[in-house]
Amino acid sequence: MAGHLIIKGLEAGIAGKDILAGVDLEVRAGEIHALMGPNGSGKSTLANVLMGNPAYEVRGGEVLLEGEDFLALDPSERALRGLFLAFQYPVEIPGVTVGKFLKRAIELRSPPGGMSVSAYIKDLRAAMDFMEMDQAFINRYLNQGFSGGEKKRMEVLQMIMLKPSLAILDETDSGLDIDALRLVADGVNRLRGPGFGALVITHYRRILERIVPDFVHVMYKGRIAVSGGKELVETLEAKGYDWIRERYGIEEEANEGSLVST
Amino acid sequence: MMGASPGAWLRDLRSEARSRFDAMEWPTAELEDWRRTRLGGIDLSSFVPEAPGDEEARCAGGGEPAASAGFIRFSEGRCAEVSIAARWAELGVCLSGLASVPAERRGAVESLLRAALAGSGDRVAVWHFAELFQGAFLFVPPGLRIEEPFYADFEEGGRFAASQVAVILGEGARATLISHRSGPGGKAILSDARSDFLLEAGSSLRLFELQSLEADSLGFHSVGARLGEGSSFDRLGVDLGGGVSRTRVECALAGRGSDARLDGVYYCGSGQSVDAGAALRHLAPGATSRATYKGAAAGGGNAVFQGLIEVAEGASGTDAFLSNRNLLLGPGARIDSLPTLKIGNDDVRCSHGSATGRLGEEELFYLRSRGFSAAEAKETLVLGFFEDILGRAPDAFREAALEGIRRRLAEAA
Repeated sequence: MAGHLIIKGLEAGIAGKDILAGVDLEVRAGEIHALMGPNGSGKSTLANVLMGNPAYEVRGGEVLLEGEDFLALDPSERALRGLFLAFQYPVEIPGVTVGKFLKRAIELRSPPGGMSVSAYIKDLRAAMDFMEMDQAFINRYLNQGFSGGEKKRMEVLQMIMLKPSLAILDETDSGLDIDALRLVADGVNRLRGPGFGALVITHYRRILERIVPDFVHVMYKGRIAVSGGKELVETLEAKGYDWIRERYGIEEEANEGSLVST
Repeated sequence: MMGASPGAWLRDLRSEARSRFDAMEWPTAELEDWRRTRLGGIDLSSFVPEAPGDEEARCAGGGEPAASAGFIRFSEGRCAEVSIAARWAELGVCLSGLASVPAERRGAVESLLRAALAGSGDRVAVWHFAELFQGAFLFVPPGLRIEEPFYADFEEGGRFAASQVAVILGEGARATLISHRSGPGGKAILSDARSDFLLEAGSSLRLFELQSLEADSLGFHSVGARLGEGSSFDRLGVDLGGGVSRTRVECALAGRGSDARLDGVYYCGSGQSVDAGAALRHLAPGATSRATYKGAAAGGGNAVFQGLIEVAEGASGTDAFLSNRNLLLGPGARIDSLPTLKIGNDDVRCSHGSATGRLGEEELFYLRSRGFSAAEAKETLVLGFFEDILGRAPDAFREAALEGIRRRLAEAA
């Protein structure tokens, strides 16, 4: 499964509000892209639209994965084609244990009757050790009563187990202490290779020091305003998003008479 | 009395019930307790038994039961099989068909059922006794603690079935009973069942009852339990079937310091109606009770839960909690939750809570984003909703209940 993703002129919104105003982005198999930008610029909307969240409405443009019309697919089909979304706010799933949930998710990715339960348990235990998670989590209901950091680790654990070809990490680093941050980065770097690409949505430079991106993009008002290499992170750090506003936003802001919320 | 046929007491009970039955009218919506049971235009009198019951039919002996203390199986009103582990039979445990209760236990079971008949206030409840030919009787002698479960299976047939479970636990005895009542497909039947329990001081019963009648049938079930001092009654009831399903659990905490746990699960498919009721009556001081009922209704399904905690004047130190949670799965699904407290004493801790909601869109999307189809995501969340209750049942019971819910969800899709 390769994960060559092409987004062309994507427009989308939620509840009558336009958010994405023509996103163009290409992620080739094996590349790591960082997506930055002020709050409200559309980063999470892009993540949700790519995964197929029915709460969002696509109003234009197209998304191709390996040349196939990705927007026509159900979220579950997108997942089985190799896309993974690490949620910004993972929800609790009462009554469904981590062990049972992941077993089923892997079974769905295996040929019929082709899943080895003993290999699964071995892999799960190894992945939990890697993520420094207590094995007792296997029998806990998914995300129920987990701390914020535990939920984020659980997202990365799932990513390691499900081996996607393209993962979107939606602010997985937000609210994490330095140890948890290291684990998240180790998780991504463990998968990194020709068969794994990622779109890392973040506000912070610190995660990008550990997951060094091939490309960096800044989203602004529903578009990719500027793209570059990892040196763009330094520029943003030094100049802030005001630099983007000054360069790309003045005209529109003057017209609309308001600033994007930050 | 000793010379009478083994079923003579049962015949007397039937004829007494028959005279009461003849003098009564069918319940209507005018009757408070039947107000929310959606009988609609159903003609109850059309459900006459096809053949007279046969109380003399002896249960065939099965072999030594594997991994259970004993089992008894009824098919179309006849006792098809009964078997009890030799080591328990030797110690005086009795598992038998109702009409074959040994002479030394007849008085006890007769007074248990006579009390149940006396407490039956409507024609449907009395009808059960008027047609009572067979049932499962379990007696565990004082002090005997049995960990392996007993099983009672009822495969209902005919047009009308009056199945009965009767359990008496001696002082300090302990037992587990798993009971399953199912019906034939493609044929409307009326199952008018009862379960009665007498728990002597310090005894403890774990009870799992599953009702999985087909959607074209009517299922009525009355459950009565009387708890002696320091005894413990722990029931999990699952109601999955019947076009109309009505269950009444009456739990009398009659002994000081007794403890009741009532858990219930009901699922109501499209066009089905469920009326689930549970009453916890605290009659003695220092007793505790916990009731947790959870239900789900598909689009076009209609359910009501009526829960009551009643504390008698002298029942100081009562500690009671009643909870009801419901899930609406489609347009036109409706579940009414009606918890009630009646408190006749100041020194008590009683509370109730109820909530009815729908499946969360975010939870559904989360599962779909991991590869679950929309239908499987829904099924996973519904089964997960019931898991805190079903998760504490023995595996086979839990699996049977989950399979029943799965099947009904698939029918609704």
